[in-house]
This record gives sequence, C-alpha cells and structure tokens, in this order.
Amino acid sequence: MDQSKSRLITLILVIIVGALTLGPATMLIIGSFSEGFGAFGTLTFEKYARVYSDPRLYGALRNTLIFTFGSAILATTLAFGLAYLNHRTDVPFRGLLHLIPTIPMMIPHLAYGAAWAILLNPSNGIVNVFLRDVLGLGIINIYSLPGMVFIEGLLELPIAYLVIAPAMASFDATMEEASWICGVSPRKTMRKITLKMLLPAILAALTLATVRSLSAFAIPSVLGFPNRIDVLTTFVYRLVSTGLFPDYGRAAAVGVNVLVSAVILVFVYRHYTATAERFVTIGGKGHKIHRMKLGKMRLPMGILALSLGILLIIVPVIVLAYISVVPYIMPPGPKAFSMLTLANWKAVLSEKITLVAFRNSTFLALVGATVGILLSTVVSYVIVRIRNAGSTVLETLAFASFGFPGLIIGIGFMWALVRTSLYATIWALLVGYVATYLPFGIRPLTSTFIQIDTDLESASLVCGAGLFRTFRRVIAPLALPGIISGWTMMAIMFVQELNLSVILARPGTEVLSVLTHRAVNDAFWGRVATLGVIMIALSAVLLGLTRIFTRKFAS
Amino acid sequence: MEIRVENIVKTFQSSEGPVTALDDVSLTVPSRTIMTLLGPSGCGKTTLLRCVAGLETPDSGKITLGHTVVWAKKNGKTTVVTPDKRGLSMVFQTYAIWPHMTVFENVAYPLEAQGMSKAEITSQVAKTLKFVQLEGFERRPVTALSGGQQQRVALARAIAPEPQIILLDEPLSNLDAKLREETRVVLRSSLNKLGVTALYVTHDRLEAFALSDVVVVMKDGKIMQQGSPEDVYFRPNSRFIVDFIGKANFINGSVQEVKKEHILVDTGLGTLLCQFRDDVQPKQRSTVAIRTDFVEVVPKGKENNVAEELTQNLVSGVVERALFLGEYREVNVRVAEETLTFRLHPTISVDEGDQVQLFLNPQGCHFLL
Ligand SMILES: Nc1ncnc2c1ncn2[C@@H]1O[C@H](COP(=O)(O)OP(=O)(O)OP(=O)(O)O)[C@@H](O)[C@H]1O
Ligand SMILES: [Mg+2]
Repeated sequence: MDQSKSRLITLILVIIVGALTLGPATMLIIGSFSEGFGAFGTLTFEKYARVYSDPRLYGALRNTLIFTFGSAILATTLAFGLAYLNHRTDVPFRGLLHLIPTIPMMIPHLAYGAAWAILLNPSNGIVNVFLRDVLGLGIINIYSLPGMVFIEGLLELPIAYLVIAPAMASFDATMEEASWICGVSPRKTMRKITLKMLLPAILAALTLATVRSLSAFAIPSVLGFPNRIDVLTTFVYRLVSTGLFPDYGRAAAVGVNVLVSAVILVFVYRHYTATAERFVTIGGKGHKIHRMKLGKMRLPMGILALSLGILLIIVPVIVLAYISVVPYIMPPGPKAFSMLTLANWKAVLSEKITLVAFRNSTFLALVGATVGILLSTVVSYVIVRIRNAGSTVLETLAFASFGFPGLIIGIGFMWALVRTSLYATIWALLVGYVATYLPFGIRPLTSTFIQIDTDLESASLVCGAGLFRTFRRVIAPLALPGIISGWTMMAIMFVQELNLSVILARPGTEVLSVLTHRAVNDAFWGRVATLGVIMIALSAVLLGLTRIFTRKFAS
Repeated sequence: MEIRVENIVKTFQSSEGPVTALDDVSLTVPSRTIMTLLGPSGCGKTTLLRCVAGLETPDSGKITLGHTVVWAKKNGKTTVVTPDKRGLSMVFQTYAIWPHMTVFENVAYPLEAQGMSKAEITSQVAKTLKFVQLEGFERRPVTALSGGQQQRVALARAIAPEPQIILLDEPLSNLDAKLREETRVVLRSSLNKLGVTALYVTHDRLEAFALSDVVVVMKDGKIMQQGSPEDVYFRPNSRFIVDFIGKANFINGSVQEVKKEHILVDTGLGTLLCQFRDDVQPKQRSTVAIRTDFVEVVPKGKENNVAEELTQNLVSGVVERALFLGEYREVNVRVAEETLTFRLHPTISVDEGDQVQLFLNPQGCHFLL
C-alpha cells in the first residue's frame, strides 16, 4: 500500500483511539487534582487528602482485595476443573459441558445477582426460608463477602475458561508420557509437568478474572449494598451518587488508583498469555489426546460439572421468570401458582420511563455496536497489516484499555464531557460504550485478519483494484463472519452495560440496566426480575437475528 | 538387555469400528542390537513401540525386558509394569522436551527421578551434553533452540540415565534432509558406543538401512520380513517388500527349471534367470519382479562382457522415453510386449527411439510367491 496514505490512516486512527481511551483517563487524572467539577480551578491535592484519610476507604480496600482475589481464584479453579474434565478425561456430557461457559454472556450480572438475592437473602430468600422453616437449619446469607465472592466467581468462570481451555486442548500428552518414561509416577508428573506447563495459562486466567472483578460493580451493588459491604467501585459510586453535591474529585482520586492497577494487571496478563503461547508452539503436531479414564467417578464428575451449568444458567433464568409473575417473593407451590399475576409486567410496561430505556438500550446496542465494530475493523486491520510505529501505538492503546474499569472511566468521561454539548445526551453514552468496549471488538478481529492470507489482498491489488475497493471486495467479505460475531458480542454487551451507564445516564437517557439498578436499590424484586427477563430476551433476539442472518448469508 | 515381544495383539476403537493396529506380532531384539521397525504410515510401528514402553495396553500377548515380564495377559490374568517402572528410555517423534525447563533441567529430570545426588547429576548432565555436542547450552530455555538442537536435547535426556534399552520413534523426521543425513551417522555411532539395545521406528528405508543391525518390515500390523539390511535388500520375500525398498517392474512368469544357483522362469521377455529359491516347483505360475536398478546397457558386440552362463538375461528393446534426473536416467524400454522402467547411470546417454541391449542382473530378478 501507498506509504503516505497508510501513514495518514494510521495517524487518524491513533488520534481517534487515543482520544477515546487516553482522553477520559487523562481527564480522570486532571479531575482528581481539580478544585471543582466543571471548572478545574487551581491544582490541588485536597481531594486526595480528604479521600485517603477516610477510614471507610480502607475498609473498602480490604473488601476489594478479598472480593477480587477470592472470586478470581474461585473462577480459575472452577474453570481449570471444567476444562480438565472436558479435554483430558472421558467425562460424559462433554458436548453439553462445552456450552456452559459460553451461555452466561447472555445474562446481565445485575439480574444474575438479583436472582441469587431472591434465593438467599437472609429475610425472605426462598432457599433460606426452606432451610430455616422447613428443615430447621441455619440460613445462608448471600449479603456477605463470601456470598459476593461466590457469585462473582461463578460469573468470571466463563472468561477464565476461555483462557484456560485452549491451552488445555492443545496440551501435548506426550509431554506427560516422556515424564513417565523417565521414571516419574503419573501423580508426580501431574505436578511437575502438567500443572507447570499450564501455569502461564492459569495465571493469565487468574489475572484476567482479577481485572474483571476489580471493575465489577453489579454484584457488589446488589449483594454488598444491604449490609454496606463496599468495594472500591461501590465506594466511588457512593461518592458521586449520594449527597447534595456529588464529589467527582474524590471519586477521581480513588479511581486513578483503580485504573492504574487494572492497566498493570492487563500487562501482567499479556505477559502470561505470551508465555503460554510459546509453550504451545514447541509442542508437537498431530498428538493423540489421552483421555484419563474416570472409572467409577465418571458419572458423578459429569453430574458435578453439569450442576455448575445449572447454577450458572438455569437457576437465574428460572428464578427471574418466576419472580416476574408472582406478587412478592414466595416459595413456588400451590399457593404461588394460584396467585400468578402479570402485575409486574403491566406496571413495568406501562411506565413511560421503561419505553424510554428500552428505546435507548436498543439504540445503543444497534448503533453503538455498528460504530464500534466498524472502528474495530479498521483498527485491527491496521494493527495486523500495517506494521509501523503508529500501529504499535494502536495495539498498545487497545490492549491497555482492555482493563479499563467502566465505572471509573465513566467518571473520566464525566470530566471530559461536562462542558461539551454531548453531556447528558444519549451520544455521551454511545461514545463511552464504544471507547470502553473497543478492545472487545479489536481482539477477535485481529485474530480474524491474521488468518486471512496476505496474498489474497496482494492478488486484488495486482489486479489493479485500489485499496478501498480491495477492502470492500476482498477483505471485508472474508472477515465478515468475524465482523458479525464481533458485532453480536458488542451489541449484547451494550444491552447489559451497567458500569458506565450508571455514571453517565441522566434523566431521559436511562437504559434498561440503570432502571434495573434502581429497582434493586429499592428492593422491588418483581420489577428487577421483569427487567432482567426483558434484557435477556433482547440479548437472545439479537443473537438469534445474527444467527439467521449468518445462515442466510452462508447459503 | 533383550526385548522380547510375543503374540501382541492391539485393536483400537474408532468411529468406523475396531482397527487392528498389531496383529499377533512377535519379535526379539537381542541385547545390544539396533533394530528398526520399517513400514508405511499406519502400519502399527508406533503402536508396537508404545506397547513396549507401556504407554499403550495390548489386548493380549507378552512383553519381556531382560528377564522381567513387563506385560502379559493370559487366561484373564494380567501382569503390568507401568511405564515409569520399566527403566527404559524413549525419544519421541515430537521430542516432548518440556518448554518450562532449561536444557539442563530437561536432561537432569530422569536423573533426579533416580534419586541421584546434585553433584552426580551435574557431572552426568555435563557429560551427556558434551556427548551430543550441546556444551554451554545448559541455561538455555528449550524454547530458544533450533529443531536440530531440540532433537539433541531429547536424545540427551534419553541417554543421560545410561539405560540398557532405548526406544526411538522417528527421531529424525522433523529435521531437514541434510541435517537428517548427518544425524543418522552420528546416531548410529552413538548407539553403538553406548552399547544399548535400541528399537527404532522409521518409515524411511535409507534411515533403516543406515542405522540398524536388523530391519523389521511391517504392513497392516503384521511383520512381513525380518533380517539384516542386506538380507532384506537382496532377498525380498514379497511384492510388498520389493515395492517398499525400491522400484521394480512386475511381469507374469512360470517356473521352467530349478537350477543350482538360479531358477529359470518363462516370461513375456523370454526365459530369464532369477534369484535362487528352493520352495518352487516347475510349472508354478506367479509374478516376477525386475528391479529397476539391477540393469546394465550392453552395447552390441560387447556381449562377451557378460558371463557365459548369464547371457540368458540379455534382452533388447526400444527406448520409448528417457528422462534425465541427475543421479540417474529413468528410461522406459519396450521389450517384446512389455514396457519396463529402468534406472541407468547418468553418464550412459540414450535417446528416445534408440535400440538398446540390456542385461538384467539375476540378483535383481525375483520370482515372488
Ligand atoms: N489412539 C488411537 N486410536 C485409534 N486408532 C489408533 C490410535 N493410535 C493408532 N491408531 C491406528 O492404529 C494404526 C497404527 O497406528 P500407528 O500410529 O502405530 O502407525 P505408524 O506405523 O506409527 O504410522 P506413522 O508412520 O504414520 O507414524 C493406524 O491405523 C492408526 O489409525
Ligand atoms: Mg508413528
């Protein structure tokens, strides 16, 4: 390609992506040193001094450490177990088990947390009522740090699995056999060879899950709120959402540290994935996978793994659907079934704000995902194909922002947009969504472009087609499956987006997740359940439509 | 230490039903001998090796290493020694060197398992790395080695514990052609120097000939022929072997007479002297293999260069096609009703349409049953 043209395109992209990622991050930092919101005033450390002398911050910090590492460790352990069963043993139901980690993407974290609150809250949780009143046992209080760790751990399981499973699948079993031949027992080989070789992938999963639970807001706000168990994100949220004057300065002062930690973790993650890949490439080709015979444990292990799927997928959907059609939380039974009602649905659907939120969510999903994926496509193409300083900058930016916690970056956006005409409009949310979720489009598309042979493009260029014609006629069609699946993923993420929205939404720009969040705070479980079902349905429709479209296109 | 394999049967379950990988295989590798298992892809070589290593469980039969029965199944009673207790070494086709360890750690691994002291390990590893010419590579991560160096690490790991038996599964197949030829020679002398019993799998006949004392040719899970490289090359016992170790023309023939040193066979080319065998009767019909490289061009008038009693095997024909391939010329010659392919020395120039007289060496004419 023409040198100067490619340099120009790269430059434009660096400016756009830089503005979207570094922009809010920089504003967050500037904001943390400013006197007031809107007018920066003179440089001051006052916000830092005030917030870091607040003893509640240290409580939140302690909780964050436990919550973050606890859930990351739980998620990684479960993911490792599941991946090991799936790829290295003869566990039954393997086809089904492979699906478990992919489906929970469809369920908004807020609704998921709410489903568990409905089952296990200490006063009228359905399961707790049963434990206490029927069995005469103690209750399980989900409004606790262990409860939060458990639920967040389940929610991070899919992402940890997606990191560990490929490493497990490409693991060369002769590496273990070589160790047995050297006179080392299978049990010791597991420790000295298998685990050690999978360690980079395990650590990569652990770091990624840590980054994600560090920025998690939904579960801490559903399950931590009732007993005032704050983590950093909810602490920051409280600073900007309560009181007469929301203090964006103090919020930014805390947020800067969260952001920096997240970015550091993301680079740690990158280091481990690189090591994991190096370990795989040395392994042989065409190896046979030796599946461990589980023998008597075969069925129990299969059932155990399946129950993970039930906890992750079936329980929340059923609970939400059920609670949306009963008047208040009550155990299922003849009484409940005689009282089935559409009252929640009628109430929710008749309110004007629901329609506004539904319209906003759909708009953001459709338009946001389209803008996001177009930008991702061009950026990924430049990252993969044009190798210059600019593309390296792009790659690093895309990667660094992979760890940006939505709620914190949302505060950066507030600082950035407050004096612009975008403030308090739906476009503010759109820009925020695209900026924060850009890496989720760039990463899969980068691998798509890597798989498209350069010769195919060269052939088109040689035929006399210009760059844009080549892109439109050759590259885009070949990358289309990747682009479509990236679009679907983004659209679904945008339907469920809470972390940014909860900061950026203003009257008139509410989205479904923000309404759900309000209902959670008011403990209107019927409303929460109804809105949850609506969001799941909207995600499912988006997924179904793209499936149909892809199939039509393929035939 | 001797390896004895008796009546091993091994079937795999695949989606298209059971596959018999080893069909009643028996063989003995005498102590300090290098034996190669040679055969086309999928004939069961690797499976046999893995059964000896204990990585695969046979359906029935018996495997003995030295005086120890390591696997046997008879009348429902099974004896099993797990791979980690068999005390042998193995070089894998993919090397299977551990990427999370350095060269030193890889080679030291089996020594640690034997409970050697730190000092002993250090000196033994140093000695072994010197032997495979990898001195100074101790601290290198194995991910930072070339293919050839990785192969040598794999070899070093296998020989470091000074095993009495070593199994090698196509250890050279991932090297490029030139390096493979060099390594072949080094490997042979190393194995001899170490005095180990080696069972070596390959599908490359040159490698098998160059390396082994005994070659075992396999097909579809069965042993087809077994013997020294010369034995197999000069006295192939079946069409499969002839095809596998070289190239040949196959024509029909029937035995006319069994003589002292040769047999006379009537063929479409006339009556030919073929390699001697005593298990045939006059009138017996079967296939004659005429090897492509056991042929000489005899110019008119130079017939006396051929020994009197062998003039039987002089045939004349017309060159139909001649290809110059560098190391040799490949020519198709029409003799009577048959078109035969031969390989001629590149200095002998022939052209299409030339009339040629050829001497078919009886050593390269096999009457096959
Ligand atoms: N784990 C397995 N499951 C099913 N079938 C197998 C398995 N291992 C080997 N086989 C089958 O057994 C037969 C022998 O395989 P084997 O690997 O021993 O062949 P090979 O002689 O080593 O071939 P190659 O030269 O290609 O390595 C083949 O038909 C193969 O498909
Ligand atoms: Mg093989």
